[in-house]
Amino acid sequence: MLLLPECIDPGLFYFVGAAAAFLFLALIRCGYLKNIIRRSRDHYKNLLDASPFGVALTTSAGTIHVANKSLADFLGTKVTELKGRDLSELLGIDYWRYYSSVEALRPGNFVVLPIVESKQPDGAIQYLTVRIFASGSEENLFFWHVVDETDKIRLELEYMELLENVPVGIFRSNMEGDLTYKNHKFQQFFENTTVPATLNALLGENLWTLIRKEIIKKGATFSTGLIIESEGNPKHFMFSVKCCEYDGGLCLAGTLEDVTSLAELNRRLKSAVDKAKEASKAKSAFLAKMSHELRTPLNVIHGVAELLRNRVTDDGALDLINDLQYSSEHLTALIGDILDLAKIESGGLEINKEPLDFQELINSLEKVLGVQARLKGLSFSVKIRDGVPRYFIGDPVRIKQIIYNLVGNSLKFVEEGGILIGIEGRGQREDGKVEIEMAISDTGPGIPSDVLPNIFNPFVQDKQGKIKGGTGLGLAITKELAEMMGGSISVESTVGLGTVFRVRLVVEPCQEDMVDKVSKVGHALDDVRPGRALIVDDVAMNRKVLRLLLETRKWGVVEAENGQQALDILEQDQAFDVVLMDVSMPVMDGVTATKRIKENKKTGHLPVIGITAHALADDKRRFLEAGMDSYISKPVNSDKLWEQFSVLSGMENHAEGEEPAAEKPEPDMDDSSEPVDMVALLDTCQGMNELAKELVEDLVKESGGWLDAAARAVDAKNLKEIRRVCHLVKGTASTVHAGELFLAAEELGRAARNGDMEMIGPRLSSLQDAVQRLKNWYEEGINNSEPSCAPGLPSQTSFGNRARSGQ
Amino acid sequence: MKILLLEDSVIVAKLLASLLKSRGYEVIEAVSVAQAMDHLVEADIAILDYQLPDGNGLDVARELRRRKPSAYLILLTARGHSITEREARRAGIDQYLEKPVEPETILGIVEVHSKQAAA
Repeated sequence: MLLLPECIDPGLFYFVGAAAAFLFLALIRCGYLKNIIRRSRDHYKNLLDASPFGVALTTSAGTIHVANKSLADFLGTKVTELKGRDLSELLGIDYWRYYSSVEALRPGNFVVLPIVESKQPDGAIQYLTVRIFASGSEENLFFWHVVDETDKIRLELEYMELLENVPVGIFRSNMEGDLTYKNHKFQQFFENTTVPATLNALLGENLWTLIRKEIIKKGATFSTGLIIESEGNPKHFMFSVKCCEYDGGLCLAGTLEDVTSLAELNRRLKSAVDKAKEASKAKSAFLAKMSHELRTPLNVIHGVAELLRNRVTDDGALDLINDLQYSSEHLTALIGDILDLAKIESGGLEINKEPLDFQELINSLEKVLGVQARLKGLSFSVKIRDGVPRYFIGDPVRIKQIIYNLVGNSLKFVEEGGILIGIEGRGQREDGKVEIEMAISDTGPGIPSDVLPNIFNPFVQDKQGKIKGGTGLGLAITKELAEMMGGSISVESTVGLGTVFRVRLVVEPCQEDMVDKVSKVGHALDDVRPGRALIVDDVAMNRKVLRLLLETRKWGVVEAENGQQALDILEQDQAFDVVLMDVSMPVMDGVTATKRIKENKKTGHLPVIGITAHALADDKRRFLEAGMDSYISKPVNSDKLWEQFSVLSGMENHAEGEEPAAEKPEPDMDDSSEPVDMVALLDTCQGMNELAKELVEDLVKESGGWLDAAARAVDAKNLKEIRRVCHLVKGTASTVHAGELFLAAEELGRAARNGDMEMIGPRLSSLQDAVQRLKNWYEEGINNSEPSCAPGLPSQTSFGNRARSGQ
Repeated sequence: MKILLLEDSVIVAKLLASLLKSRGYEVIEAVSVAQAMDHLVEADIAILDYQLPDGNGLDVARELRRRKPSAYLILLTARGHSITEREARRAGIDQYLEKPVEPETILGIVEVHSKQAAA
């Protein structure tokens, strides 16, 4: 037991001892805690210094309490020098602008200051993003969080610089069309006016509405041309826009490009193309005119040669006459070919569509070509294999022309062996049409491989071709014809073995009863009894040839120099069996004279045969419509003349009501389309039958007035009025789908615009013809009691039928 | 919605008027500038042909713009007329259409406009 001095209170002793022990322990513990705190602070310091972000703790005024190394690095200084400094000043921030929002921050919230541009000691620019957080501490301290975004911002700036400097306007808008970004170029376009703030203002309401629909509907780029006025000059722009994702939503982004110079170039090109087209038309017109001029004297040469043949007995002289005839025939063929090609090139040749009997077509070809082949000692056969429809819709004249051309070629070159035409079906397509292939093979000399690839070009012939003659146009025409019929042509040839031409055509099979059976009239020349003819022609030589041809058959002839003279003669004397009428004549032309003859009761019964060098389809139609019973194209020879005579006499012998068998109009003149495209009109009328019917009625009624107005204007030579009337006709005709009327008015209008007085007359008659055809078509429809048979019958039943068939 | 239809071709006018009426629009038809002038203030939409016997559609457009600024003006013009879209816009035309125009197009424009005007 420890003895304590008496003066010491043992309680105090214990207290002091306990206190000392406590103090000792506390001292030990304090050092320990200090150590822990120091270590923890070091951790934080290391952590802060290691952070790539600048961090600082400041007072609300921005005075730095603590900062890390990254911040010191951003500011180009040391951590130790930062304490107590004003951070906003160091960063170059106008801090007091943001002070109120910083002050009002609640714990955990922050504000982001605009990008800070700070200059490094080495002069480089640094871009910093500064965020200030409320710390929530009692001392009201704030955390500053500074991020170096130099790389990102530099990239953005580079893109921005690119956007601002490209020579294309670039914009972005929200989905309502408010333009949220417009680059420099975009704004430059509107230098002298106000820069549009919305797409609506830029595009106008209609286009904007349309674009909005389109873009949302399709999500594709929408582009359109725009014309924007700048300093009183219209500028052409290409506007493109696309919907894209942006900032978590959608936006419209696009470009505006100045294409004024391009538009100008376009305009010039277009005008150049127009001029070229005009020139091409002029060329066609020239060719048509030339062919007319050439055929007329050719007619004389041919006729004289034929007359000479009957009078000459000397063999040598006969040979010369043969040469003469051969040459004139060749020339006629050449003119025909050139005209065909010119028509094809100018788009003036139309492919007719009519039901035909293919078997009969081939039979007739076989007869003619077979005779020619046998004359040359060659074999000739046609084989129609399976799958070829006997009846189909096509153009018989053009199909014959293709076969004639190809077989004619073979006949020219083959010296030994023969020619075989093999026709076979290549199967039915989904639309019901059938592809047929006609292979024309021969055992001729073959075509050299260097000529073969160009064989379908005009005037390409190999040596043989040049020796044998020919126009060099036949194959070019054949190829064009095949292609116009939706087909193709190819050739294979081996020199020394022979050649095969293959023509593929796509045809639409039809029923036998659709095929028009033209009544056959005997062509026996003996049927033609001698009679009396009135020859009307202004060219004395032409009259002479006709007279001589007729006189060989003991016909009596009276001559007239023009239409008026013919009428005068007929006034006194109607005892003629036929009138042979030239078309182009001074004083009164043949068409007018024919109309008068047919209108006159005394002479209306007289058959009139037109003699024409006019090769254009429209003209021929005009002749028949004027009342000519048929026509003969120049050059006239005795065969053609007697054939027509025999046809006419056959007609007289026919019972009334049967179809006359005059030379049928050529297919390209027989426009298959109707005066009004009823299917299209009914579509335009949106199915309102009655409305469509009324419009057609009105069109027929109005057209008479238009014609009168046009004729008066033509008489008065009032070009402006002609154009006005044509404009009215065109506007109406295009709306109601009256194609022919439209074209006729356009042609007349053009002639008036060009001040082409010579063309105005014929154009006016074309317009009259178009109106007449319209009237006939309409009346035919009205009078026909059986709606289903009438073409384009303007009755309700018929409309219904047609609309359905058109669907 | 009243539509002034100025068109000198009676057939075209009949077609357009019928189609517009079938869609429930009221149509005032005029065949000349003089007739059109009598109906200016009634029209909410005007469909104006350019070439007319007694003047042109722009004369009507200018007067209509002055008397009734809210009207929506459509001009139908044929290619080849010297008038440009710019001139038409100056005369107050909102929509410039070159013939041939499908009636469906005109109906579409009228419809878009009348809906916007109603909204």
